[in-house]
Amino acid sequence: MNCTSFVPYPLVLGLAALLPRGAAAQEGGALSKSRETAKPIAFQAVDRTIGKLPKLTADDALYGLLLFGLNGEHRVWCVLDRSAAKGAEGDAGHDAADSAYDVLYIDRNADGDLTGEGERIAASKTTRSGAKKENISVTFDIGDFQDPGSQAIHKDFQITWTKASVRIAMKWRGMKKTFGVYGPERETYQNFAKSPKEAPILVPGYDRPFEFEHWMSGVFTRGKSTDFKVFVGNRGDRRGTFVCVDDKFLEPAEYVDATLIYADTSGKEQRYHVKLTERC
Amino acid sequence: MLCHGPVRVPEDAAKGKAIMRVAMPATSAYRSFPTDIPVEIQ
Repeated sequence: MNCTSFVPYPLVLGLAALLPRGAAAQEGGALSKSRETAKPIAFQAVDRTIGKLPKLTADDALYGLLLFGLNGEHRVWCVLDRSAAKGAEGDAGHDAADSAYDVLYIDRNADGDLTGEGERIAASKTTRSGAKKENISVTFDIGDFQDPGSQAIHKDFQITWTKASVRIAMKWRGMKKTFGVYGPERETYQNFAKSPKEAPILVPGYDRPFEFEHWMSGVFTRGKSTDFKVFVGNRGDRRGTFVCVDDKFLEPAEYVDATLIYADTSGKEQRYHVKLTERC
Repeated sequence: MLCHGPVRVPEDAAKGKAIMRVAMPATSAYRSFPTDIPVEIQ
């Protein structure tokens, strides 16, 4: 498997090369100190209530939850809706576009009220592919987004919906890109869900300590070498909700430690350590 | 992004479930929560 094929768009971001070692937000002064207090997020304890919703047109609106703040304490709900009720499949004139979402509500200020000014975003781009143009991709340009936790401005924030999965991307603090969602196999990439209770929880950015998820490399064979690959970023509440940084984020001298903890044939625990030094 | 590298599983490993513990090294400029990823040895 070619490891460049996991993303639908290029990962090039030249700014990273211009920054001195540790210049990323991970190393920012006050932020670095507060990072010491960051803890893994207890996703099961995240409040899934929404304070106030606009009147939704779609009876199958989709919900997703983004967490901001050093401990994910600021909840930003996203709801995908339609500007008009969709026709039923089989109706004359019905096509794949009828099922596409073209309105996004996003709780920019994380107050639980999605009816605020600037919180309704119309789709900016719709593309179709496939023999019957059945594959639809709808992009919502949110643009500048003030982080309800740090108050930093993240730029070029986009959410893209497809039937298969949802994608988010932004330049964190206007600098380096953070994007998702990913999982260990393509089939695990998540979409927004039909209720707040089922909504996937995503954690964008790189203010928090990194977490990891493997990609297409969870099976090893004894006596053989396997190219083990990991995303670097933040885990969400389930498989297929990982949000990562790009391949230029870590300086060339940086690497990731991986330790295989396994039992030998006598049942004794063994550890095998490797450095993941390559990037793609 | 993907960080990657070759992992050669020793011949004496038992078949079955194992854990890959992934973290930034102590010498790194970046911090991490060590992440245990379930894997399988065949």
